[in-house]
Amino acid sequence: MEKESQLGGFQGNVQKIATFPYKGTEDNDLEALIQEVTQNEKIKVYTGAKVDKTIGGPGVFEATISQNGTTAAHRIGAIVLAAGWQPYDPDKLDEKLGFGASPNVITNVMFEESFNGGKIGRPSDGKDVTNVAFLQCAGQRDPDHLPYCSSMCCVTALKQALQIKAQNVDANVFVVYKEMRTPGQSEDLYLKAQEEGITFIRCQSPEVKVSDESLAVEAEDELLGEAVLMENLDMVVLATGMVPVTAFGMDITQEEKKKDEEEAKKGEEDLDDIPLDVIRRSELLNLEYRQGPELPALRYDFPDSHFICFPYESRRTGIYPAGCVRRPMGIATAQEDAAGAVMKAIQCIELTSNGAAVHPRSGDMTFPEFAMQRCTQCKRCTVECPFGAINEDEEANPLPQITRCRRCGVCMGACPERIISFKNYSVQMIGAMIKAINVPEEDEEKPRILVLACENDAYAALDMAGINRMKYNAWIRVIPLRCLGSMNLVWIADSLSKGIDGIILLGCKHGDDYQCHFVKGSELADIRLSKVSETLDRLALESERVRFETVSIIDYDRLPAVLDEFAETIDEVGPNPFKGW
Amino acid sequence: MANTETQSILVVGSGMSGLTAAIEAAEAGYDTCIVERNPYLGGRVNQLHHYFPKLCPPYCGLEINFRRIKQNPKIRFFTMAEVEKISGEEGDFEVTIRLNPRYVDEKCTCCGKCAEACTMEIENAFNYGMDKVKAAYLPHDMAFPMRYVLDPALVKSDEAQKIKDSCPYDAIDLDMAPRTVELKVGSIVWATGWKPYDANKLDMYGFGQYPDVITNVMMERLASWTGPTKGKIIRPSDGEAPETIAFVQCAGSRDENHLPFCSGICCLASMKQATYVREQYPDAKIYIFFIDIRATDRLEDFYNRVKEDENIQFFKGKVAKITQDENGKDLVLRVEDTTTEELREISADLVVLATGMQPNTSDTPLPIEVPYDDYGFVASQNARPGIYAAGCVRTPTFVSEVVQDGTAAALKAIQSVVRR
Amino acid sequence: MGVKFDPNLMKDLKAFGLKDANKCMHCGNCTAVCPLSTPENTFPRKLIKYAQMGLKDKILKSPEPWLCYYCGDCSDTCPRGADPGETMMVMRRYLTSQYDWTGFSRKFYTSEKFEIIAISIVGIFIGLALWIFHAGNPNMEHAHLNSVWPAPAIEIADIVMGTILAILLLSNTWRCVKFTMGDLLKKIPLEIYITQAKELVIHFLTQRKFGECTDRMQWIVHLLIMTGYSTVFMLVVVFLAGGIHVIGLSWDEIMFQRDVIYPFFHPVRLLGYYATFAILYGTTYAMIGRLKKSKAQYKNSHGTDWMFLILLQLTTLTGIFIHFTRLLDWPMPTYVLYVIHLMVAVPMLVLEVPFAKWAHLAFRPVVLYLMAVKEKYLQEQKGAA
Ligand SMILES: Cc1cc2nc3c(=O)[nH]c(=O)nc-3n(C[C@H](O)[C@H](O)[C@H](O)COP(=O)(O)OP(=O)(O)OC[C@H]3O[C@@H](n4cnc5c(N)ncnc54)[C@H](O)[C@@H]3O)c2cc1C
Ligand code: SF4
Ligand code: SF4
Ligand code: SF4
Ligand code: SF4
Ligand code: SF4
Ligand code: SF4
Repeated sequence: MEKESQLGGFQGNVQKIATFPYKGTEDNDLEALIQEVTQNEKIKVYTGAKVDKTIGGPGVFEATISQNGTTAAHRIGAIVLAAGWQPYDPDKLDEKLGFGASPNVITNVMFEESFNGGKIGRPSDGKDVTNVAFLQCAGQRDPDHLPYCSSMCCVTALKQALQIKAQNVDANVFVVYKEMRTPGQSEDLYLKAQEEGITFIRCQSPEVKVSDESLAVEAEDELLGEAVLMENLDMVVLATGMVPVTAFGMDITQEEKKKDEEEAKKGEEDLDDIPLDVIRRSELLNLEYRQGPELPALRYDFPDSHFICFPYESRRTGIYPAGCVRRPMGIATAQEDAAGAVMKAIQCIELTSNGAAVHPRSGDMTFPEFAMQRCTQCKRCTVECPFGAINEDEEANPLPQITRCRRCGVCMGACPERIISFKNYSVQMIGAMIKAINVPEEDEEKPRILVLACENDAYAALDMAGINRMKYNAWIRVIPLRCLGSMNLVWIADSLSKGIDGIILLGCKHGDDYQCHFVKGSELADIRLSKVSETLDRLALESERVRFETVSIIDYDRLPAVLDEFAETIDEVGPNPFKGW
Repeated sequence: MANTETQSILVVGSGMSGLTAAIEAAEAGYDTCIVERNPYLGGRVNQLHHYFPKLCPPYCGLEINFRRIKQNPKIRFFTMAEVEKISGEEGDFEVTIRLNPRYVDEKCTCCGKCAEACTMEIENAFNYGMDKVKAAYLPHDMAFPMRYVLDPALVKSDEAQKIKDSCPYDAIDLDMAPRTVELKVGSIVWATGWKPYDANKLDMYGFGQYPDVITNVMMERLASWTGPTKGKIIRPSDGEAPETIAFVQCAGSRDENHLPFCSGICCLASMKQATYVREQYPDAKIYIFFIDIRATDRLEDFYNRVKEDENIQFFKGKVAKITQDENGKDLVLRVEDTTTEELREISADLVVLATGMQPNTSDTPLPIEVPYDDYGFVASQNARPGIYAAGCVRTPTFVSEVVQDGTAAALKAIQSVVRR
Repeated sequence: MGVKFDPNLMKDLKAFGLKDANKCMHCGNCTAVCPLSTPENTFPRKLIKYAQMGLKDKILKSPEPWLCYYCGDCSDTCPRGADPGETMMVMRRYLTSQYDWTGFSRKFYTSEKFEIIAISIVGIFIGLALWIFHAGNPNMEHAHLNSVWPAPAIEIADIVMGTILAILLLSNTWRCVKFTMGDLLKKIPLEIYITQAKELVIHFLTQRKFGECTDRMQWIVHLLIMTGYSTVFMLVVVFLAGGIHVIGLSWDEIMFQRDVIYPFFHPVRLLGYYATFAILYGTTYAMIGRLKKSKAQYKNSHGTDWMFLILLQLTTLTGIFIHFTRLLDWPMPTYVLYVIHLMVAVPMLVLEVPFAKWAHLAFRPVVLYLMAVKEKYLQEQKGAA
């Protein structure tokens, strides 16, 4: 499915490419790849098309694709989102960079688009170029523009500079950089450019000087300690960066806020405590999902995975972003990335067709079941599901789409009516385990402490502490939870009313660098817990009795101390007055 | 035609790239077999304390992956194993695998009695030789498979029988001998990863001569709770807390006399390690001597975060020489501040060399012909029909990209067996 | 207020032998590794930057090229293979040509053809002159040079040549002084110039700076060539002074071109042997090194480097052969060798001393001296402030 009339994307504009082994520039071989795609009978190509709407979930997606005014619906197993990037708008650049002041100040993207025919000429009159300056990081690595580095523009500048040199050995080509970033083997291209006599200037803030007929760049050369003036330039090329296509379009949470303000409407129950994801109407997939039409974005609007070890795990099951939509990258990486995304897509189809979950509980055959008769349409589950698996019908009943579900149990923890359960995991089950905990009588002077631990990290850490024969307080009883997000408040209430003296929740780190395997589980548990204090007050219990603690899997060295300290606190607070009721 | 034997995929090396390739392929329904040289799976990331930029522990992801392996009957693995021979062609490879003896079988419960009984000590390779372990040892705290190993030297020693007898579960088998296994596989993923560049070759930095000059991989171990100092970052020479720590970037990288390429991760690794130091020593002063700071894409955020710390000084200049000052305590780094043309001698009491990643294929190539680049990396992911390279064996990079590469290799390996 | 990039310098420097400076990524390793670089005068990276940016004026003002003895440490450890030591060598050639107001040096350096032709012309001219202007009845029984070319005539020629050379060299040196010191030249009180004069002598004689380099062999070789050459030079000058017939002076004992043979342990004879050995050893070592490209400093050989070594070695060889033929008392071979000797030695002196590599004999100690003066001055300024 390609929006443009031709396959190939931006690469179609490119004449030469720089890739492994980075010893020089190479011819663009895109055409061969396109041929391969169009000739493969297993690939159906839509060009000049758009996805009007996507419904369903992995294994049962249905995408409505419109092309030339006709629409067709397609059954799809999984989706690779490789919709790429847009160049940063050069009009927004700092005036110092001179864009717009002269036709001969162009961007790296314009360079490719203008000269893919062959000859590189001065934009204003097509004359041969002999003096050219490349200014790197234009509107990049800059809090006022793109705060990140686009990773490929250093290599691109080297490539374009080499192209100019190849056309005219005597050309004077400057690369004014802030930081030369050529990791891995691409360092060789940097060396190659130096060997070809390209001049490098390290400068944090070059200035383009445009007067009637002349173009110059003044750059404070850090490595010389003086400003260098490059005069009589035929062309200045600005290295602008990549913006993922997912960064365009209004954020729906903003929309909703607006709507709320306009209608001054109050929901039946206040759901404002749940932090909402940024989802923009970027018109790529047009998902009919309750939580929004596209993938939730991470920082700077990349719908990437937050996991270092699981880079394909986007927040929507069965939809795998690849290429520059995920993070800025060059072609070599993008190709590998796409292959990886396809791998995940195939795997998703395979697992889903067997009725199993995908990462991280891959192979799990159970799924959440809703006892709908008792549902109050409170929307907790639909809002909280980290993967947007639950839609809503017109009556606001939750409609779980099981193939989108990752089996985290967050919905189960969220549901105030406790009507969501798995075959092997339910509110009642854990409730029964709590019930089974023996609580010493008050006169035994032995408090009882319940630990609800995330089974992925915290529980594993407790395990490690055990293996290392570390000791912690004997009052403690541990119940592992699938994800702390599946913690239902009823367990806290039950425990306290049963006379358990303290409860500590052990979950993964949340916040910007969250480590929760289910993205939001531990955060949601923490939020839920914060509401417990009201309950505690009502019951006239001390708020110290419940606590949330962040632990990672390697924290077993400090875990015993954390638990011991909690036990001490509980001891000080004294026995739970509900004991023996 | 497809038959079950040749539809299976061999993955050599179980670092993040190999592990990923094997698991992803298995979860898509293909039989995979992992061959790993170490006695444990997971590769080098086991030895890292935290990952940049999230500063999260590598075990977190490893644990998920190990669980995926345990649950999945389609994955087999051999540890302490190496591929000796590959013959045949795509779809029909014959592979000879050599298995080195561990001397401990699956009955081991990790009770540790053998280690208690053992008096022989060996260098702890997991901690880069910074401490010693018993010759009957668990490779590391979270090793998978969780099973002890006996060092061959111990087995040959007089102590052997005593150790065997000490095991309450009769898990020790002193007669284990190396053996070979023949496998038929359809395609192969080669993911044998990297090794730290040998710092002994950097004589200008006095590694090996001055104990307080260490490498970045050693620093990861020093910071780790499972490391030689239980996570305390101290000067190896006297166990004191360091006051001034210098990170020497591009130590043997981007250097024609050593590794001409850039390892891509060591700038970020040093910044990450600077955060370790700052966490333990709020007053410590840190220098990072660099040529270029290579924090690509959103890793730039991490750079900005570290830059905000006033105690961390980024110093533009490559360190040329390290010597010891007269009192024998401080190390003196000779370096030019290239932004001011000043020649400086800067004292530090702990120096961390940011050494690069050298592909393991540079000294242990594949037992079948594939193209390499100038530095010993496999020249392309499609190394040869049916053989695919993944991870740092192809290009030096960080974990998320390595995983991406492993996933891609899994696809190619599957395509290869399906084509047949 | 900044400098302008000049694309031409880099191309120009190529003619002076620059090859790898492009590759420098300004890591700063070379400056930090250089044993002679000091906080006051950091090099060589700075000079590479000047070259890359085409900053001719800055190069002209730079004393640093003369502070480098080409030990090669920087080139050996440069991570980029940018051969910074070579850049310093090129800078010396370039500066030599810039100091030279006649423009001859530039031609000499930038055109190998010109170099060879110039040397051949001078050589042939000398040969012809000796051929034409010899005495009517040479002694064919004994090897008596005076009987062919009487000492007074040779002395006159020598003095004429010496004066011209001295004028050229001194004027070039003066330009060197002017360029490197700039405005400071006149600001610094004379007194400091005088007190620091001893530095000049010390540096010249001991090459002390060179000793600070890590590669001692290079210093030894350099010292051998330098002392060997200076010894011969001194002998010639002293003998010239001893027998200046032209102005009626003559002290027979140390007259120039005497046909006596000194006893073996005579100091003059011993000095002669030392010089011969020193030069032959040094030049042979350097030539083999250059052929094998064994060290950083030998990796890139400019035409003038070869010419320098060849001329020096030929001069010495012919010199020592003359000594032997005289010992054997073979008249004809002695005379022929003498012609060849002068045909080599004279071009070497005439062309190399003011215009090429030999000129560093003057420039280097002078610049070192000036740096000492400058340092002293700046110190005093600081003290005063
Ligand atoms: C100091 C330092 C800090 C780092 N910090 C980070 C960080 O914070 N974040 C990050 O993302 N990245 C970091 N990295 C990079 C990270 O370590 C690598 O990206 C990662 O280890 C690459 O994984 P791999 O699978 O390619 O290789 P490896 O981890 O090396 O795995 C290769 C496996 O193959 C095995 N093997 C080797 N040869 C054979 C053979 N012949 N037969 C069988 N098996 C074999 C090895 O034993 C090993 O288990 C750091 C690197 C360094 C040097
Ligand atoms: S790749 Fe280079 S030019 Fe592009 S943002 Fe990064 S540092 Fe700047
Ligand atoms: S189990 Fe998790 S993923 Fe599935 S519906 Fe519930 S909250 Fe969503
Ligand atoms: S959380 Fe429970 S009650 Fe609320 S909508 Fe979902 S299923 Fe219904
Ligand atoms: S990542 Fe940084 S330290 Fe490592 S080789 Fe590259 S530039 Fe040098
Ligand atoms: S060592 Fe080499 S690359 Fe570094 S500054 Fe010197 S010449 Fe340049
Ligand atoms: S050759 Fe030696 S003296 Fe000259 S700049 Fe290099 S290191 Fe210094």
